[in-house]
Amino acid sequence: MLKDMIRQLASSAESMKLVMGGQVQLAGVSTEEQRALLGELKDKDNGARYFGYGWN
Amino acid sequence: MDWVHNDWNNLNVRIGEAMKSLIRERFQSLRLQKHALDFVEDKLGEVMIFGSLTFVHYHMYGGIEGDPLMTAAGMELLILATDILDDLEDGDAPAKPWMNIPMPESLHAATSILTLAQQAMLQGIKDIGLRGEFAERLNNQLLLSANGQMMDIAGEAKDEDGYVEMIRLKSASLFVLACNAGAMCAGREWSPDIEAYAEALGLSAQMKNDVRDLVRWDDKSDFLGRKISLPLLYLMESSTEQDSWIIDYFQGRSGAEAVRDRQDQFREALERTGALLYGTVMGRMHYNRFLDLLDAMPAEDRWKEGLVRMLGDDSRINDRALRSNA
Repeated sequence: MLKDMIRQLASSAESMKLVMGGQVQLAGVSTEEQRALLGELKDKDNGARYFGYGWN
Repeated sequence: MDWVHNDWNNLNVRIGEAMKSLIRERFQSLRLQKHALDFVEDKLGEVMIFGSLTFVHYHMYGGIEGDPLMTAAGMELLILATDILDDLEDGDAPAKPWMNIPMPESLHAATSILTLAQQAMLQGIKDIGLRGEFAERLNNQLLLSANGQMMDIAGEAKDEDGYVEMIRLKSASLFVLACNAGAMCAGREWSPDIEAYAEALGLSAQMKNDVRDLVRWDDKSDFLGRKISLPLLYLMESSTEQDSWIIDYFQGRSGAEAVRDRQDQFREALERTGALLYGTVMGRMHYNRFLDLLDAMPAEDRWKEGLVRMLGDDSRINDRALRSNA
């Protein structure tokens, strides 16, 4: 599931690279979760953001 | 004036001026007027996202004869009133002007601003038939938000499902109102399709703010204030023995002394467990749903692009359908 995948990624920079390179299957993670996770990792890597504002 | 492409700062100023005009016109009590103007002045330091959503939706859905600035100003007055009430309830914004005048006056100003907001939003809709429908929808969204706010105050959300329901009621309901208000100002009926994507946007925005409020270490810190959020719930689930001080504090078994000067340790725990990544991924899932639903709407692409640009999405502007009329 998504939480287990994120725990694994957080604990290993190597896993993160493999996921971003498409070399690891995200078993148990839904298509929507994969899309969001990969988008987030990609943006984190290149400094982009998907959503810029904040409100109180 | 090129609203679609880059004039959002100017729009912010124009909405602010419209808010001030409404206050000067309808608040004859000079003390009430002064407080309200001071509060708006404070708000001008922020992006007026809700009013901007209303304004953009007016144009997205072909508005010609309505008064989108009036409706947008009403929407922002409504948000200002709910912000004031929220701060009075939480007591966590000591620098805000409404926290630095006598509480009865702040409370009275907030309820007066809320009434003014409703009046302005209704006046912005020219079609009398639609105005009646809008009045009912407006109150309905405010009631949803009120229920969510009480869940928040009472700490009723205990798990992820409860938390998402709470923010759907409290926050997303106001995004739904802002977007549909613009469309109704343009002469459209209340749209369930707009409701669907606006709710997804609202959930995403709240989750994004939750991540921001988790890393801060001040009066608005969710952790120090023991306020639940998705990344905090994840952090509790993912913590190890070395993080027991975090759980003890959050669950009230220790006090402020136990967390003093531990900001760096807390930040390290967030990174180590992936709590921040989890929070942003959950927010992004809802944002992606918002984009998918928006893409399917029968509105001009240039306004869809303008909306996404307004939201500060610099990863999306040249993407897919929103690219076609750029």
